[in-house]
Amino acid sequence: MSSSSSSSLPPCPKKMITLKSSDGETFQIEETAALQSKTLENMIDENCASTPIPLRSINGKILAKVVEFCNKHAEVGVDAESLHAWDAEFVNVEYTTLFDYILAANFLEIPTLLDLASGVVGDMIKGKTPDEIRKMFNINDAFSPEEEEEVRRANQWAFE
Amino acid sequence: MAGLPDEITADILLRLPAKSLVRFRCVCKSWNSLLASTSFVEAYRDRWSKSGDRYLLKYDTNGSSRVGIYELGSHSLASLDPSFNANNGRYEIVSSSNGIVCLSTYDENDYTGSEIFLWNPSTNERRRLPRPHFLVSELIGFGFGFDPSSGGGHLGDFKVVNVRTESGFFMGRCSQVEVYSLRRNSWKPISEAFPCGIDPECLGNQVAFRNFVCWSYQYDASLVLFDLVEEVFHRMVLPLSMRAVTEHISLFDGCLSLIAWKPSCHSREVWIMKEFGTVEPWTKLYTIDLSSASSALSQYSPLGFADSRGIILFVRSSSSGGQQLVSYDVETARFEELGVEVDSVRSCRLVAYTQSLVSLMNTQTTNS
Repeated sequence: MSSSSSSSLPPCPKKMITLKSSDGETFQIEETAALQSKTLENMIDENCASTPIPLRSINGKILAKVVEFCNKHAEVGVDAESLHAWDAEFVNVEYTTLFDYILAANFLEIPTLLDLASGVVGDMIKGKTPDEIRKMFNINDAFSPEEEEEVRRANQWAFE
Repeated sequence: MAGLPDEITADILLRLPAKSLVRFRCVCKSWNSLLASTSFVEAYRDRWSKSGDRYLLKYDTNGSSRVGIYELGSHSLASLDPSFNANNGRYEIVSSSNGIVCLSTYDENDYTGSEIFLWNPSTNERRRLPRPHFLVSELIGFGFGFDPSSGGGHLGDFKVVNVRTESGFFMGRCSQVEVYSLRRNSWKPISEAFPCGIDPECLGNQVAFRNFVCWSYQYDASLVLFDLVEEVFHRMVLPLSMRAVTEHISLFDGCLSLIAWKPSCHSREVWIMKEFGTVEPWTKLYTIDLSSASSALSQYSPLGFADSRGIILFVRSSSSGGQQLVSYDVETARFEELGVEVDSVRSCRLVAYTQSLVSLMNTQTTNS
């Protein structure tokens, strides 16, 4: 792209919206990037995005990453391969952080982020034991030891 | 840390191989009932059927039966053990459909002791069927497939058709037909007769396609079909242009396909049926010219497609009497050895399957 011709034009004013995290941090995001979130898109359409949008279920640390994700995915001219590599690096985090990404993506309705993080969690858990799964997923309706033994016996081959 | 909403947990679990999900049945009560629910089993089937079929090869080596999954990347067979307490460690695959494989512990020395099993290779669940009312001395007697009619919380039904017919002069004039339904878990004689004039000894292999069991018929280039919904037989005559010796019927990319041998041109042809029920449904997809191969054409016996991109497995007989598995790529016309010796072409059976959580035990699955 030649920069000489574009630099002579005044920069087009970018429409920004402001997001406010549960712990009170504010983040500016371009409207075009924010449109990846169906929730934000609806608010923009209904003209509810002129004041800072409070996101009570998302903390500042996670919201910063979500904004970063939306910005990257709104960039023009990124080829699929480098975006794929960027995504892989983005989700190379602890599972607790992935769960936070999933919850944020679910709340904001960002299908690309939801699918990406869910896929990584799937890869992460497929080789795990039921015990490890219970810890990760915070499960509290476990079987009694006798019941578990029975279910396990019926499906023994899958543990080998 | 907050847990994930149920629908997101379910969406993550849908991505996992069936073996992980079988292990996760004992994670907790809610996961156990989710994984067994009709809605989850159905969503799992839909998701995995889109990702393409995998292929199972049953073969005999040194007198005992083995099952392997064809791995495209490495051109190898990953061993899978259905652990049947079969007679002499031998069994046959009848056919496969919707993730379920039908096997028979067929013993040619004592066919009255044959047993039939349904097996889900994804969950390793298996079920022995009740004895049929009659057993025939040839495996051709059984056909297997899926009846998609649903209702009452069911995702359709798996059915086995058992046919007894006279060969030779009396062929097709007196036949007995009975149908096993998994939902009913019993055999039931039906009044439908096997099509007249079909010599069962000329029936080739079978494949389950939609709601039909389809057999190739080598005598006069036609197909014999059994409709598992209506429980009636049909014949489909092949067009003149493809009159060749049909060696093999299988599925390719979800379409019915035939591998046929034209003795006059030293080649094999692959035909597929693009659309069911149209005037000109068949299209020639490939001509396989084996003239460049190191062995003569007659030494290659096709086992069918092993991949949706066009890998065909063959058994190659060598002059020393050994029989080797080789794969053939229709695009590059290259052969690759799999490094597997088999006892005979007859002992080999290649079938497609998709990952499935369908249970064979609970004929009534829970709704949720």
